Amino acid sequence: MNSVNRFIAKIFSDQAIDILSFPEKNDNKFWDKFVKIGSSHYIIPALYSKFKERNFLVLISDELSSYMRHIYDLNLKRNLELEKESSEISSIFLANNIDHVFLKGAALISSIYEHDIGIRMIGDIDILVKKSQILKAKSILLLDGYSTKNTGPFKPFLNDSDYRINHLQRLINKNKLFAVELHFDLSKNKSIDTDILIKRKQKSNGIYIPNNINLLNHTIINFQENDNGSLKAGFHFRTLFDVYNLSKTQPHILDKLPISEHLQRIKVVLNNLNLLKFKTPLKLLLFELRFRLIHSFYIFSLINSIIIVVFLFLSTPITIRLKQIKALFLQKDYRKYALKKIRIVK
Amino acid sequence: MKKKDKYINRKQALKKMGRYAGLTALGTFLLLNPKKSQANSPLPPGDGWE
Repeated sequence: MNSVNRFIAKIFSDQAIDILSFPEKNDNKFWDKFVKIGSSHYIIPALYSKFKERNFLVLISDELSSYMRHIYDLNLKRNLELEKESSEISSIFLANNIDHVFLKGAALISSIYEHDIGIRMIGDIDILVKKSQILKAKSILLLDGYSTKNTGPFKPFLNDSDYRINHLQRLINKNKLFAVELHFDLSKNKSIDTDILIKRKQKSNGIYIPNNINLLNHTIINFQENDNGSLKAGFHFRTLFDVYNLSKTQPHILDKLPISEHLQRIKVVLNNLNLLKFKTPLKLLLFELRFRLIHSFYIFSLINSIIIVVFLFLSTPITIRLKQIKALFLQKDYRKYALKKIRIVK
Repeated sequence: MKKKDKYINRKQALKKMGRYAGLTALGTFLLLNPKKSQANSPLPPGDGWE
């Protein structure tokens, strides 16, 4: 684990940092890496907020401080808009008796980050809707000006049923800032009972969100399972920041979550970043060794990435691969997107 | 005024970010850019090895 990762974990978890060991302002190598990692993990606003709270801004260069403040300010403006748009959708859904909860970023800024809503970077508005009402919810948003057209870099050629994801196609609205994703499920392996999650919802700042236990469980499952964090033995600071802050909302909350391999694995990750005290069970020692090697030596990281890419490629159903191959030949926009993605064209 | 007009353009943003603009991951730019953010899901998070 490199020193920048350890430093970032210390900053956002309020661990004591000896001022004498604080990196020098002019240590460009360190701070450049800090920006690269912080921005790829979407936590520059969180780091800025923590630096400010802990009076560390005087210890970094003016240029870095102003850069971080700028990203934070832009994010804050976006999230203020997100609050407004979430609230509008909530009103429409309630008026039409749609049973729903807001998830992820929208839920977090209306609850644990309500005191500092610029702290969390958010891509879109995710909403879990009762399965039997999902199409009604979509129609309501379509009537409200949302659309599924032009929501991506190429014309979609897969149906909703082809996606092994848990939501309908993204909805966008030219008069709104945020795209909306309507979820009918929350995990690839259906490990979260969505009906119970909706039933146990709580109201926070005017919108319905999962209770804190379910919010924490979904945050973990979403990264470890849906984004393949467990498979890759990877970690994402934005997720760890959310998990860390949610775990402080009530004593022993992590012990109240359903026991799963994903929970155990994220505990190993948290332990290795000194964010949680956890004794690694025997069956996860190999996972821990892999995690340490991947995050300490580039060669292991590279080998791990190649194996994962091949595995994910082979695990995609043949029917979807055939549709992709057909689109590669017949759809110019998809061809351009695919070639860019594998870095054959810029 | 359209919502996206309230935000500064790319050139202004890059100027404000100084030398760190070049080090900023594409994902962060995408999330902060209203138009691109609507069109794309956030990029998959990095594996932590930078």
